[in-house]
Parts: sequence; structure tokens; C-alpha cells
Amino acid sequence: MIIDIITCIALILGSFLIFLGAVGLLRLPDFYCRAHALTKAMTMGISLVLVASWIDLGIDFIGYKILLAIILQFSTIPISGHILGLIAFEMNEPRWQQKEIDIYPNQNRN
Amino acid sequence: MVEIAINIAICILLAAVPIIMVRLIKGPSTLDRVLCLDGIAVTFVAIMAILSMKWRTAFYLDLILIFSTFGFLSTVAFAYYLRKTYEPKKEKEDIK
Repeated sequence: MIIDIITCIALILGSFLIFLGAVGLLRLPDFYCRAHALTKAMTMGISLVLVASWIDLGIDFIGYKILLAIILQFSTIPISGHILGLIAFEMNEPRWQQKEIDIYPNQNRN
Repeated sequence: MVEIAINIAICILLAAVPIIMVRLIKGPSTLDRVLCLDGIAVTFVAIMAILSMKWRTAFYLDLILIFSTFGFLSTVAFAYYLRKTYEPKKEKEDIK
């Protein structure tokens, strides 16, 4: 029963993190912001989904194959994001110029 | 209870793929598209893990390893050839 609850929580939280990374990839204004959002959210999301499948299928059933997959994903996704960020910095990718932020947007400031 | 969670997770992940594909179509530079391919590969790996939970087979786990390695190597190959062939902007500014 407890194993089922842990599996459900890890599964839904991981898939929601991947969805959040996709939304960040669509909405953010800059390449660097997009790489940041996708890399972090996708690393945590795929790790949670693989941990959920590891708990649900059992250790004997898989034989530590999924632990290898977790280590591989956890080490390769940040490396790919870092490489793409370096190349964007070398190619002078345009950066988002941050404007002045309205802290109180509904009030009239004179 | 786990089967309901599996169905919900598959629905969320399948909703995440077209959102990435919008950025893949309208992305302003090539690097955005490479990033989108990386994201789609990760999403497919998650869908494979959930399908191996749904049907209770261990055959998809080899596929997970192969597909994650393939996505990472494709990203590195794109990065390598983009770095080889880019034109530095400073020389253009000097010519003008």
C-alpha cells in the first residue's frame, strides 16, 4: 500500500516536472533561459519517473539496469545543456534585455 | 491505484510533446531546435519507462539505455558541427 502511494507520487510529480520543462521551453524569452529551464526540469523529472518504475517493478525483476539508466540520464542531460550554452555564448546569441519591472502594476506611479 | 497514475502520467507526457514541437517549428536559431530534439528524446525515454510499468516487461529497459545514449550523442554531434561551421560576427563588423 505504501509502495503504491510512493510510486503514484513519484510518477505524477516526475511527469509534471517534464511538462513544466516543456512549458518553460515554450514561454521563456531567451536561449539561455530556455536551456536552463529544460535541463533542470527534465533531469529531475526523468529521474523521478525512472525511480517510480524501479520501485514498481522490483529490484530482482530488472537487475540494476534502471539504476544505470538513472546515472546515465543524470550525467548526460546537464552536459548537453552546458555544451549548447557554451556554443551559444561563442556564436553571440542575442540575450534578453531585462526591462524595468513593475512591482505594483495596478497602481499609478507618478 | 497505480494504473490510474500511469494513465494520468502518459496523458501529461503526451501533452508535453506538442508543446515542445511548437518551439521546434518557430525556434529562431538552430540551437533552439537542437535543444528541442534533446527534450523530445527525454520525453520518449519517460514514456518508455511508463510503458514498461504498464505492461510489466523488462524488454524496454535496454531500449531506454540505447535511446538515452542516442539522444546525448546526437546533441554532441550537432554541437560539434555547429561549432566547426559558425561564422564569427566580429570579422563582419570589421568589414563594415
